[in-house]
Amino acid sequence: MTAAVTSQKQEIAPKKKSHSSVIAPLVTILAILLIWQFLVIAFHIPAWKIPTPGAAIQAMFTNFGELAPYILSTYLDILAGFLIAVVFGIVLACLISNFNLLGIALTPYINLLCTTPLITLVPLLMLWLGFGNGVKILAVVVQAFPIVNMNSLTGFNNVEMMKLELMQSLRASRIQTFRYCVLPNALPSVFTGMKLSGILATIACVTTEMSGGNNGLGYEIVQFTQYMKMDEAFACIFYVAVIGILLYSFSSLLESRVIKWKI
Amino acid sequence: MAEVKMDRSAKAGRLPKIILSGISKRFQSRRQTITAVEDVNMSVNTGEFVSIVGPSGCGKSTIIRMIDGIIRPSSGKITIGGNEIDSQTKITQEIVGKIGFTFQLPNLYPWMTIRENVALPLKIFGLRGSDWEDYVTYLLQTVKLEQYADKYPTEISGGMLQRAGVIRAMVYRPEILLMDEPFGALDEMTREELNLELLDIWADTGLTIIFITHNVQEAVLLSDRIYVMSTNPGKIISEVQIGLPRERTLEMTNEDQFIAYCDTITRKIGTVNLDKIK
Repeated sequence: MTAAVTSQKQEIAPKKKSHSSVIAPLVTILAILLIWQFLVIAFHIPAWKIPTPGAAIQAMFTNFGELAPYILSTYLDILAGFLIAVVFGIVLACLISNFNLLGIALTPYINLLCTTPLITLVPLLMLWLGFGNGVKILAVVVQAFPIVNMNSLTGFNNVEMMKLELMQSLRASRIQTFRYCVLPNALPSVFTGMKLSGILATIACVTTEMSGGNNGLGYEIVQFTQYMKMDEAFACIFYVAVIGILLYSFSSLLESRVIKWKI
Repeated sequence: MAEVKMDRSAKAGRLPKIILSGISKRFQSRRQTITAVEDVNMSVNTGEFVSIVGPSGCGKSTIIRMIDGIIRPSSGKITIGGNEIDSQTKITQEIVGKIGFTFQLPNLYPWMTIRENVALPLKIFGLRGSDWEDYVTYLLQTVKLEQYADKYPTEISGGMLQRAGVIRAMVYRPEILLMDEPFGALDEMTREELNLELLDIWADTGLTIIFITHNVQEAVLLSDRIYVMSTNPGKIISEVQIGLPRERTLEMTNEDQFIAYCDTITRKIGTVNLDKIK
């Protein structure tokens, strides 16, 4: 047997995660905070207009006890809505890709839901469901599910003909074809949808709280702003940012655990 | 692994393994009917290496897809190992297990390692056990891929990938290998290497091979017999028996007899094309 050394490609060395990948973004955020701090002090901007980041971060900790129930309410609603949206979005995409008629019937309205700004629906949802956690979770689902659905559907539908032909040639069952070919092929798109829906989930929840809720961080931001307590308001904004980042990181971590191949 | 070595004398029987009689395939579009292949008659013996050459679009790929059962013929009859298939009958799982299929591109799944890709048909067919796992390892060793077994397809070269594609089609021990221009996308040197490796595999296993290519030299180097096709509609216009001795070597490609075969076939393909232009 002829050895095949000549055509052998140099192996691609796995990228090592260097320290700079952690340090560089930290330096960026530190620089932004320092410039912010400097500008506020240098231009004598009053604290009721813009607080120093130092004061805002301090407020995050000193007011934690007071803010805790609001943080918990917002975080839990975002998380619940996000999980429902992701599961529902992926399962529905899976069904649509398998049953053509379902896709024809539903896709225009899912697109419509995706392009309609949620803020216009919030007053209606409140009218029907009141001001509690239910309306927030529903708002998160309505905003976050179409994007994960559309991305997953793109993944399920865009399978190279030849990849399917292999399954056909082996007479794989529908379930086998889905498991070994269609699903793994779709995973990168599914994760893109998940990341985006995490961002939208956070926006949807806080928007709902701001436009008439009676609990959560969005509600608190409005309250603190009205009373000119800007450091507390910014502390709340930071807490919103934290859940946004956590959701995004969760999706990214899951993605790196599941998708081990290079795309 | 001695068990995979088949007695070459079994070839002496030369029973027809695959027979195509009067096979046509028409594709219906909204405006027109396109005849991809028309009245194709072929016979391939057990253990024989047969190539089909012809210009692009002559229906070569359609023919082996019909033999594999991915496409059903519009009319005519295909007999595989005594089992008849026509436009109505569905290919049985038993026949599926007898046929291996390799694609123009390696067509490996990027989400599986090389080993997982090669072993995929076993999962589909529900063939489990250490014997099968050992056979996967044996095949990987045969084509010098064992050290890349746990790599993903993006991490190795095109030649390596195509080797994996070929052994994937053999992993469930089929009797027939259908190859759709498997080395067409490779550079000349890698292609030659793989041609020789394929001949070794063929000699070891006693497979019946139908090989599609538009490279005349490759067809002459590999085959016992070559069918030449014309295009539009795809028809078999000639059949050439290659009388070169086995073992085939690359040195043979410089010999007069080899060059004569290539010329004959090229002229047959060329004549058809000129006729079409007129």
